[in-house]
Amino acid sequence: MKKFLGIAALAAMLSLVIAIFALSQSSKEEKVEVTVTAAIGEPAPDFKLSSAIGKEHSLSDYKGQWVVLEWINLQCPFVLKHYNSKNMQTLQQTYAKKEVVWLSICSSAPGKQGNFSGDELTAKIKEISSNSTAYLIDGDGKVGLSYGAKTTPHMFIINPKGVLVYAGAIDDKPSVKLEDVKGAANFVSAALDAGLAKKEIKVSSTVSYGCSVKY
Amino acid sequence: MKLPARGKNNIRFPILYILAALLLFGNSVQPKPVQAGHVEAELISEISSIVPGEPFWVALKLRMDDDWHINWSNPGDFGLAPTIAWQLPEGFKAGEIEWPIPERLIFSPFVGYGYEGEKILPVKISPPNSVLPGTEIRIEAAADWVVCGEVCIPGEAKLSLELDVIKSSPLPDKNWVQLFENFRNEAPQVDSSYRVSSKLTEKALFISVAVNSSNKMQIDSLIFFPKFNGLINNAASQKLSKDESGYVLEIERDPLGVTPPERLKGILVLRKNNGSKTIKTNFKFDVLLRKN
Repeated sequence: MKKFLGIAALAAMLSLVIAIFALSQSSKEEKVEVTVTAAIGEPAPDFKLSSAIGKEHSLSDYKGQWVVLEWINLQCPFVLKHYNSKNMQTLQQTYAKKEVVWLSICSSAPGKQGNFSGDELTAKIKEISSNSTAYLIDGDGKVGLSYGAKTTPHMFIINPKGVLVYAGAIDDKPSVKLEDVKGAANFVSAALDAGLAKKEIKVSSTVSYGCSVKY
Repeated sequence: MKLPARGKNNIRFPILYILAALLLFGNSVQPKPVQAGHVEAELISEISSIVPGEPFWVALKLRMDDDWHINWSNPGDFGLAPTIAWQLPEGFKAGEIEWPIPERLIFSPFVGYGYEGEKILPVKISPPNSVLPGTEIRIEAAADWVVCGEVCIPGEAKLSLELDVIKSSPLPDKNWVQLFENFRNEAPQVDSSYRVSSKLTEKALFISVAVNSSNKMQIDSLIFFPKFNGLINNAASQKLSKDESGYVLEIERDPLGVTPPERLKGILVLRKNNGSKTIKTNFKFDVLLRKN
C-alpha cells in the first residue's frame, strides 16, 4: 500500500511537472512579459557589469552619489539624435561636474543591433565623444530586463540612498530629428536639478521613446 | 474601298502633342509614389476635383515591405507615429490624421501598435469658399516616419497633389475611392450598444463591457488599444472573462507607468459570434477611470 501511494505521488508529481512544462511552452508563444523588479521610490536593483574597457562596475559602488542609467544602442536613430546633436554628451558633462555618475548600458544581445565589443566598441565610443562615467555591457539583458528598460534611450535616476527616483524618456519630444532637441523639456536634467537642490522631483515617471532594446 | 490617305502633318501633330504633354506634365504634375527605405509613400485624394467650401479627404498612403511596420498614434513599446506637415493654398485647413485600427505587433518581450502592408492615413482638408472654380490647387505634404522591423529606420517623403477646382458635383477618383470607403467601414466609431466602464487597481486595469439586450452576441475575443501609453503593460496578455453583466478584460499595469489619467480612452477590437458566424468589429470609448 505504501509503495502504491509512493508511485501515485510520483505519478501525480510527474504529471504536474509535465503540465507546468506544457503551460510554460504554450505561454512562451503568447506571453512576452518582462520581469521588472525596479519600481519608483524603491531601492534600485543592484547589478555588476563590465565596462567597454573591462572594468567592473556595481551600482552599490556608487552609494552616496546620484547615478544616471542611460540605455544605449549606437545604431539606433533615436540614440543618434541625442549624440549627433551633442545633447547627451552635454548632459553627461554638466552633471559630471556635479559629481553625478553616468552609466551608459547596452543590453543588445550578441548578433543584434548595437552589440559591439573590443576595438570596434572602443572606436564607436570615441567617435561619439561620450562623457559618461562608463559604457557597460549587459549582453544577456538581465540588468535591462530587471529595470524594465524598453527603449534606447531609456533613462533612470537613482538617488544617493540607492532609491530609483526617475524612469522614462529623456525629454518630451518623441522624434528622431536633431532640431527637436532644442526647445524640448528635458526630464533628466529637471529631475537631477531638483534632486541636487534637495527639492521634490515633480515628474518621476514618463513614457520613454525610441528603438526597442535588442534583448 | 480606299481609305482617305492621311497627310504627314496629321500624324506628326499628335506625336508632338504627346511629347509636349510628357515634357510639361511627365515629372512635375503626375503624383508618383516615393520609395524611401522600406516604405512606399504617396499622397492621394478621394475626389479628382474639388468644390469651394466643401471639405474633402486626402490620405498619406503607405506601403511597407514585408516584416516592416509603421506605428499607430500610440506606438506602444517602441517606434514613433508618422507625422505630416502640410503646405496648403491660402485659406485651406488640414485636420488631424484619422488613424485606422492598429494591430498588436509582437516583438518579444515588446509589443508595438501599428500597421503592416498597405495603409492609408486619411486627413480632412477644408478649402475656403473663396477658391475659384477653373483654377488648380496644389497640396504639399512632408511626411516623416520611423519604419520598424527588427530595427527602426527613419524615413521621409515630400509629396504633392494637384486638383482642379470646379463649381459643383466633384467626381470620386476611381483609383482611390475604394480605399477611403474601406477605411470608413473599419474606422473606430462610438457604439452605444456596448457600455464600457473601467477600474484601476494597484496591479491591473479592468475594462468591463456590458452588452445591450439588443446586441446579444457571444464575444470570443477582445483587444484593448490604449489611446495613451504608460498605463498598461503593452506586452501583457489581456485576459477576457465573463461576468453577469457582460465581459471583463484584465490587463496588467505598466510597473513603471505614469500617473494614471482621469479618463480611460482607447479602442476595443472584438470578435463576436451570433451562433453561425464570427464578426470582427470595433468601437472607441472614453470613460472615467475609477481607482481603488
